[in-house]
Amino acid sequence: MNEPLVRVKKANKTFEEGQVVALDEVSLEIEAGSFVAITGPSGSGKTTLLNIVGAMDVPDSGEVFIDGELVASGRELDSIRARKIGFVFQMHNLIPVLTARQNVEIPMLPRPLTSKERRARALQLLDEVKLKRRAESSVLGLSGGERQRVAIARALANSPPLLLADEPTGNLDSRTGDEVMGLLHEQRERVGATLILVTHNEELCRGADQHIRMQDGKISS
Amino acid sequence: MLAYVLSQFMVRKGRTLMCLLGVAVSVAMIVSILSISRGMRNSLNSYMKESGASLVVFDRSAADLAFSKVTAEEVDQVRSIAGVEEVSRANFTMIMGPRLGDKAPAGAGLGIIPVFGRFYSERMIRKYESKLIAGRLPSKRSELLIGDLAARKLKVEVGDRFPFFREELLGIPQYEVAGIFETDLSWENLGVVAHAEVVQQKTGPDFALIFVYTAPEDTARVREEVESKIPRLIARRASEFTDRFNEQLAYIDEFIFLLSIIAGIVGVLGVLNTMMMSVSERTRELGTLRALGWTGRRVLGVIVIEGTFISIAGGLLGMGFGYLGTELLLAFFSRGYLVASYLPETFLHGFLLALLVGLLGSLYPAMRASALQPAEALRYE
Ligand SMILES: Nc1ncnc2c1ncn2[C@@H]1O[C@H](COP(=O)(O)OP(=O)(O)OP(=O)(O)O)[C@@H](O)[C@H]1O
Ligand SMILES: [Mg+2]
Repeated sequence: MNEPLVRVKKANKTFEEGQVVALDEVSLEIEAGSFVAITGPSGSGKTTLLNIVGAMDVPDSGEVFIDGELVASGRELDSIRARKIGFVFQMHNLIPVLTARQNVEIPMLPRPLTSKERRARALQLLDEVKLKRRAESSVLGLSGGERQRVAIARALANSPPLLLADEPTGNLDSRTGDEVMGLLHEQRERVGATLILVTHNEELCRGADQHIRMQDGKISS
Repeated sequence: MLAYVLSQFMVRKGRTLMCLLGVAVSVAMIVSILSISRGMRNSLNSYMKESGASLVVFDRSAADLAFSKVTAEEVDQVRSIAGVEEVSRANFTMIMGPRLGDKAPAGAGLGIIPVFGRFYSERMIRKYESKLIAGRLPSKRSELLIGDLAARKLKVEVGDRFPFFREELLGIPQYEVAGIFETDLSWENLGVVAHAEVVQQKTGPDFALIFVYTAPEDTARVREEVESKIPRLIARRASEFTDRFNEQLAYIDEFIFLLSIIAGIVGVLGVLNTMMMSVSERTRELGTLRALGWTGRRVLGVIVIEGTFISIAGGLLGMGFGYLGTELLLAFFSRGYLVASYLPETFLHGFLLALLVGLLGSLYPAMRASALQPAEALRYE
C-alpha cells in the first residue's frame, strides 16, 4: 500500500490547561494529489487540525506524519513547513508596502537561490495567477481578490506537495471567491499538489475526494 | 530580505525616525565631548612643540603645570649642564581682565585672561616673531604682547597704554601694547604675554617651567642629566609633552567612558522600546513568516538587523550632529577657550557605540519574536 501524504493517528489537542478540547482523538489519512474539504461549525477544531497537518503546531498526544516525516516537537518544524507546505489564509496576510513580487519571494528567501532566480520564479508564479502586470505594485494597492491570488502564488513558491487553505474566500464576494477557487484548483492540478480546504461554504466542497466534517473536535463523518 | 527590513521602516516611519534621532543625539554628545577633549590635549601638545625648545622641564610631582615650581637655583643648575645651549624661563598666572573705562562697552574686558610670563631677552619670546599680525616684539618690562582674541576683547590696539593689572606691580602704572599675535591655539590667542618679572610679583620668585634648547644629538643625554642631577624635576621632549599628562587626561577619558555608558543606556532603551512595539504590532506578520517556512533564527536575525540598522543610521547622523554642534559651540559659546580635534578614532567610538546600542537594544525583542508560537501568532488580531 502506498504511504499516504498525511497520516494523523489519535491526535489530541487541548487549550487553556485542558479546559478547551480542540481535537479529540482525531485520526485521518490523506492521499497524495487529492482534494480534501473540511467543514464544521465555528470552534469545531478545523484550524487546529490544519495547523497540526501543516506542522504549525504539534498535538499533545498522537502522531502526525507528513510525507513520511514525523511531526513532533523538537523537530525542525520550520524546515518541514518550508519544504512541504504552502499556506493560503483567510486574510491574505501579505506584507504591506512590499510589492506583489517581493511577497511571493518571501518563502524562497531561506533557500539558496540567487536574487535573479527568485525574481524569475516569482514573476512566473504571478503570471500563473494572471497578475504579472501588477508584479511591481505594492500589495496595498491590490483588490481583495488580487491579494488572494498573490497569496496563492506565494503558497506555491517552493513547490510544496501540500497546500493548506483556511477559508481562502471568506473575505471575498462570491464571484471573486469562485475565481480565486478556480485558480487554486487550476494550480493544484498543474503542480499535482494535495489541497486541504477549510470552508463554511458547502458549494466549494463539490468535487472533493474526501470530505471531513468536524464537530466538537471530532471527525463526525 | 533587505527589502523586507526596509519595508518595516516605511511602515513605521515616525517611530523609526524618533528612535534614530535618540541614538543620534547620544552619539553626537559623545563625539563632541571626545573631540573637544582631544582638541584640548593636542593644543597643549602643539603649544609645547611650537616653543621650538628641545626639552620642557618642570616639577615632577605637580599634578598640573599651574602647581609646578622650578627655583632660580635649579635653573642655574640646568644651565650649567654641558650641551645646554639656552634656557628660557616661564611663569604663568590668570587674572581677571581690567575694565577699560569708556573705551570698552559696559561689562567688556571682564573675564579670565591667561598671562604668560616670559623674559623678553630669552629665546622663547622669538617664537612670536612669525606670529605677529601687528606691532613688534616687546623689549621693556612695561610692554605686553597680546593675543588677537584678547586684544579684540579688551578693545586695544598696538601703541595703546592701559592698566593691565589692577594694582601697580614694579611701579608700572600703565602697560603699552607692543604687538598683537595670532596662533592656531585659541586659548593662547586669548592670552597676554607679560614680562616674567612682572608676573613674578603675582606668583613669587619660582618659575612654572623652563624651556631648554640643545643640539638635537644632545637632547637625550641632557634630559637624563637634568633628571639625575635634580630628581625633583622632570624633563620631557617638547614633542611628547602630553605623555606626562596622560594620567590626568585618563580621568577625563574615564568620565567620557561613563558618559558613553549613560548615552548608551539611553540609546538602548530607545531601540528596545521601538523594537518591542514593532514586534508586538507585527505578531501576526511574524506568524505568517514562520508559516511560510522562516525559522525562528531568521526572524531573530531580521529584528536584530532592523534595530542595528536604525541605530547605525542614527549613529552616522549623530557624527554629523556632533561635528556641527561642536563647531557651533566653539564659534558661539566657548569664547575661544575650547579647541576641538576631530580624530578618526572619535568617530569610530561613536560608530561602535551605535552598533552596540543597536545590538543590545534589539536582542531581547528579537528573542521574543523568535520564541513566538507560529499558530498562536496567527490567531493574534
Ligand atoms: N491558541 C489557543 N488558545 C486557546 N484556545 C484556542 C487556541 N486555539 C484554538 N483554541 C480553541 O479551540 C477550539 C477550536 O478552535 P479552531 O480555531 O480550531 O476552530 P475552527 O473550527 O477553526 O473555528 P472557526 O470556524 O471559527 O475558524 C476553539 O474553542 C478555540 O477557541
Ligand atoms: Mg478557523
